[in-house]
Amino acid sequence: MDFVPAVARWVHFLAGVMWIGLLYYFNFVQVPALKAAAADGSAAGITRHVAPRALLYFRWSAVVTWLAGAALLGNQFVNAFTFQQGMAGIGIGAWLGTIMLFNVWALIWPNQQKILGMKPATDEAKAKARRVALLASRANMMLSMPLLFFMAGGWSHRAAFGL
Amino acid sequence: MLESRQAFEPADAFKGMPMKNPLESIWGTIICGLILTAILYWAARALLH
Repeated sequence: MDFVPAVARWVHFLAGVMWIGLLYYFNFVQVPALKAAAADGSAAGITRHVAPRALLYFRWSAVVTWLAGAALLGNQFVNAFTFQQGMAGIGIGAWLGTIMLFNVWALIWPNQQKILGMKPATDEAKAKARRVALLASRANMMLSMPLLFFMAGGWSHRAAFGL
Repeated sequence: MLESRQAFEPADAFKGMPMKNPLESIWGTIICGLILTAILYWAARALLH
C-alpha cells in the first residue's frame, strides 16, 4: 500500500534534482558562458551540442517531476491545490511547480527552438525569443527558491513552520 | 493634480537612471526569490492557516 508513494517520492526527487539542476546550470553556467563564447566566436559548440541535450532532459524531467509529485499527493491532490487545512505549504509548492512547468513548455522551450535554429525565425524574432527565454528562465529560478522552501518543509515540517 | 503627479516622480538621486528588470542579473533574481519566499511564507501563515 505504501509502495506507490515511496516510489513516487523517489522519482519526484530524482527528476526534480535533474530539472532544477539543469535550470541552475542554464542560469549560472550556460548564459554567462554563451556571452563569453560569443565574444571569441566559439558559441557554436554550446548551441549545437550542449544546449539541445540539456533542454531535452530539462523539459522532460519537468514533466516527470510534476507527474510524480501528483502521484505522491494522491487523494490529497485537490486539497493541496485548494490550500485545505494543513496543506497550505505543500499547496503553494505545488502551484509554484505548476507555474514553472508551464514556463518551461509554453515560454522557454518554444523560444529556445527559435534561438537554436530548430524552428525558422528572423533575426528580429530570435532577438525577441532570447529575451523571453532568458526572463522566463530567470523567473523559474526565482520561483524555485520558494518552491524548494515549501516542498522541503511544507508538508513534513509544516508544524515547525506554523503552516 | 500637480501634487499627485509630483508624488510619482523619482527621487533626485535616481533621476536619469534607467530602470532595470531585477531578473536580468543573477543576484537580482536571487534577491527576488528570497523576498518572494518571505512574502509567500507570511501570506501562508496569515491567510491560509
